[in-house]
Amino acid sequence: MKKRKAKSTLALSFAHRQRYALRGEAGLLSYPSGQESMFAFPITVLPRLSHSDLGTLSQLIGIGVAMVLAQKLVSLVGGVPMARARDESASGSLRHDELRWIQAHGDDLSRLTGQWIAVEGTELISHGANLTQVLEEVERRGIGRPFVYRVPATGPDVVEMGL
Amino acid sequence: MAPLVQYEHALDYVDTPRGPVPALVVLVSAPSGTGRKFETIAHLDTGAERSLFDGDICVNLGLSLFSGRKRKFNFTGGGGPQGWEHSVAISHPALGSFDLEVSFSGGPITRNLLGRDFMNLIQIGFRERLQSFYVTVQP
Repeated sequence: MKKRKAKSTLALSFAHRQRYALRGEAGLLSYPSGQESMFAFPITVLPRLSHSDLGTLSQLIGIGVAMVLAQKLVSLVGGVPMARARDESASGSLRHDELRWIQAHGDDLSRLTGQWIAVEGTELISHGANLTQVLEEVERRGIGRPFVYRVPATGPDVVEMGL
Repeated sequence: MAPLVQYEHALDYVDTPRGPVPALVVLVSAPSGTGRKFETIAHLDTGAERSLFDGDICVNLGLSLFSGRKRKFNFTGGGGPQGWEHSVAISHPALGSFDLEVSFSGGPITRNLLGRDFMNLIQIGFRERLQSFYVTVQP
């Protein structure tokens, strides 16, 4: 991925905020700087809106109310806040399948402690103490961008800190 | 009053055999290497002044490990590995690509560390209770 990829993500994010900010400074359900009351925003902005803007504004208020109610509901049933949701702007793989596989096979992997493993999806492609050999095996399988991981030592009394 | 930070990305801790940890799955590549690139897990370590990756990664990127600037990494109890610094690109599908001087260890290490040199390129906030962290890709 090139740097411009990140810039485009930022640009999209910025455009998203601009679209929903309705001339506010920050974003959805936020208010122009210096306005502390939640009622100050409509009072300040409404007179400047056109008829079509008012339709959009009512939709946004509806969405905002629904979001707040949904978040309250999730909190009440012991769920996690909406911020916990996985990032949707990811344009590539975050290796969820591989990570789930590694965690699910933690006990099996203990015999490979210190070794490199290459996992693709839910398949262990190769493992060994020599990363070069592991990568060569992966490349023989035609995987151009492998996911590799050195299996750490685990144990109930092991506490990780730095190195 | 402390500043209120609004982050652009919300990410979960990464699942490992030891459980969820604050880390990123990153694509590592070296502009001056052989063109080989691969993904691996890098832990986010606010206690590490600089980033340190396993030396095996350096060799397989096509870099000459010992040609880089030598660094000494100190444990809290004294001692620690030596590292040799090289320019690499660290990429993440959501966060983008970062040019970083990463030190590579002379021997095996238990995990790759993204230290405060990486965090100098972003804003990051941890929420251990929720096993989540938040990032904005601006210093």
